[in-house]
Amino acid sequence: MAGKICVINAKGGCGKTTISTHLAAALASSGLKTALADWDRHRGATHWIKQRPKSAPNIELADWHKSFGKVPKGIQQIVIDCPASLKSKRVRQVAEEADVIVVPILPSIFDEYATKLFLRDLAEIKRIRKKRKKVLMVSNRHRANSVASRRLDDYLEKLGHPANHHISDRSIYPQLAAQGLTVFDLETKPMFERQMEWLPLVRDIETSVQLPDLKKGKSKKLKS
Amino acid sequence: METEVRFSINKKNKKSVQKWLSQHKQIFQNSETVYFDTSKNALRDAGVELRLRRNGKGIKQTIKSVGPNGSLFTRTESEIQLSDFEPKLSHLKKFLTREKLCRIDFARLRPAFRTKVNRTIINNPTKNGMVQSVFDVGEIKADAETQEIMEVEHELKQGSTDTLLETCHEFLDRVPCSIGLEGKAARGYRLVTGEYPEPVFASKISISPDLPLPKAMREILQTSFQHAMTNLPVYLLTGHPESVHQFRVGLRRLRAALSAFAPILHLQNSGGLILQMKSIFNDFGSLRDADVFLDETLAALKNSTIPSSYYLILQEQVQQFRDQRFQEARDTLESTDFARFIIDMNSWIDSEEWLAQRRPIDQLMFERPIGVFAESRIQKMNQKLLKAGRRAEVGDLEDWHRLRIMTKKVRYASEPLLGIIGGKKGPSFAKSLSKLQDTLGKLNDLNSIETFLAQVSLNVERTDRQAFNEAAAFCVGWGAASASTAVDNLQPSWRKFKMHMRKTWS
Ligand SMILES: Nc1ncnc2c1ncn2[C@@H]1O[C@H](COP(=O)(O)OP(=O)(O)OP(=O)(O)O)[C@@H](O)[C@H]1O
Ligand SMILES: [Mg+2]
Repeated sequence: MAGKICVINAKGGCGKTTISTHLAAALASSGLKTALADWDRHRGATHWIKQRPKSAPNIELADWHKSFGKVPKGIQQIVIDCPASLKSKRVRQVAEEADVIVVPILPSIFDEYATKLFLRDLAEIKRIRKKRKKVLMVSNRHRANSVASRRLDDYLEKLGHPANHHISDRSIYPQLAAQGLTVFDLETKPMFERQMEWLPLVRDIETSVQLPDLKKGKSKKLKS
Repeated sequence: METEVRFSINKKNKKSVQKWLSQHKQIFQNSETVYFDTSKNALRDAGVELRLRRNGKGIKQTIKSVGPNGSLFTRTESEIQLSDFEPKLSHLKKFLTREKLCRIDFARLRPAFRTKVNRTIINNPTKNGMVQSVFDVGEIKADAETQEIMEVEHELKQGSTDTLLETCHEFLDRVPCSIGLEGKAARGYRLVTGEYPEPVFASKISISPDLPLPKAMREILQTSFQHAMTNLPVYLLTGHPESVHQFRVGLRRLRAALSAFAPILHLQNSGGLILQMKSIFNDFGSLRDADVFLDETLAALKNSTIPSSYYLILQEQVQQFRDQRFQEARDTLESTDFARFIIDMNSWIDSEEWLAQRRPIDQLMFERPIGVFAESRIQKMNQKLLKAGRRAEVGDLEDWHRLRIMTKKVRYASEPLLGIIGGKKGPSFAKSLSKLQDTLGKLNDLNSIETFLAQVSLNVERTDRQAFNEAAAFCVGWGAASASTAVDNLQPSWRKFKMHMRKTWS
């Protein structure tokens, strides 16, 4: 059974697709059979995979608009780029069945408020409320010395969901995205520096997801 | 733990040893050591050596594990000080479980053999540690038998193993000699029992799928390497064909592990060492071919219509060829280059330099358990095999040869990984791969016989060559007949294999 990583936040444009593609690329280029499920309205992930060069580590696309819940054969990890809402039953179901939930958030007042509401909805899922499922807060487009970023950290702290990881604000992210790439696909010194920034998050995810081949017991199938 | 490298010395290079030692402050000692065991050598069979030695302060009892522990030159060792010359058995608890101890009949414990040596000791401090080098000249005595000892041991006393490696190289530069993989105790037991060591067969490598990748890889590499090396003294002492074969099997497993892990290895800086391993492996190939010809092919030929004159000349010439290759192989193994190769290979495996740590993301891979890697790697190799198979199914004999080569590669490369995957899945798939390889291999038997006999022919005296070549031609013709049945078996065995593969990995 594949490990399921759900990337989600009710606020649009907070970096769900950027983070999903990076997580998928990190897992794939370190040797795991990885899929990226596109379930977002804008189909950003689908577009990104179509641009992806053949030479880059393979990531399989699972089009969840067409076949919801599908995990391609032989896949060890699946990253799900979710729609910006927890309102539908299906989204709650996916969040419920994921091994780990990743919530990107931007340093902006609007995002803060939307995230607060989102986290409240998320807490209705029992396993999350009881802290049996990890929710990783990722402060995206982070600038170490900016007032806004510091504010965000304080805010999340007060919400009881302190930022677990930070991804910095770099123009390279939109540039790479346009070519179907990530910082894991290039072997240059600046890219290695960026990779270092992602490692703690990826590691955290891996420890939350039981490794698929050694996984014991059955896991439930998604109902479509 | 004790880490120590031993070199065999002889009359020819004794002087250069003394010269090398004289660079440092030397300590001279006369030392007598008594090894204890029961009349049935129960201690040795339980995997330990027990010895007593008088030293300045009193009596020292040392217990060591018989075989290496983790690394080729490392053994478990423990020493205690005694007041009288009587083994203290409670010390054995450190090494043996209570069950094992219960089975030993200590009433029959007695001195089994003793060594008497003149030792020269130097302590060689280096930048990163300290190595003690000991030159022993003397003998081993058991009842009426004695055997000469002349050897140098370099023991790591402080610091990292690099220090030991450095000293060994510096020593080998000044004193050309061969590696000594057999310790004094092993030789002592041989003297007592008159038994020569037996070829050591490959043991199953049992690695838990939860073990982190680098640790598991290191263990696979060490186990294979040690398997090759334990057969080395057997080969030098007995010349047993099986020990040659097992030596090669060990090296082949080492190579197989390198291809199993190829996607995550970084071998650019180790090219020399790997080439050396390949060339040693290949050097032993024709010796192995000769043994197979003498044992198997000739036996099968005997039941054919072969004229006895052909049979005799084949037997005689191949035997001669074998003896020559045997001598050459022996020279290789006793060479200084080979000694260097062993210590370098061992430290290379331990160093984990082979891990590709190019990108920061590679770290992730090394934190994962080996089971995850094993399964996806096998899947990948299977895909390649299926592709070659699809070509062969509709192709010609050339395509089957390609499939044969691919099968051989996949079989060896998957071997260390299949052992890791739990349950029956791994072993049963390994079996089915080896069956496929056997059938496909028959395609090449004929070629191999032909190439082998052509190689032998080069060694045959001119006056006998005509007769030999006639006999060889008969042999090749005989082989051709059996090869044609091999072609008929290709399609069905491939199909059978493919079905099994689908069932196992779907
Ligand atoms: N760390 C970053 N540094 C710089 N730009 C970023 C970063 N993360 C995201 N971006 C950019 O911000 C924009 C929105 O990001 P992205 O598309 O990943 O968000 P999203 O949550 O998937 O949006 P949507 O809700 O529209 O699907 C993109 O142009 C992306 O390239
Ligand atoms: Mg998106």
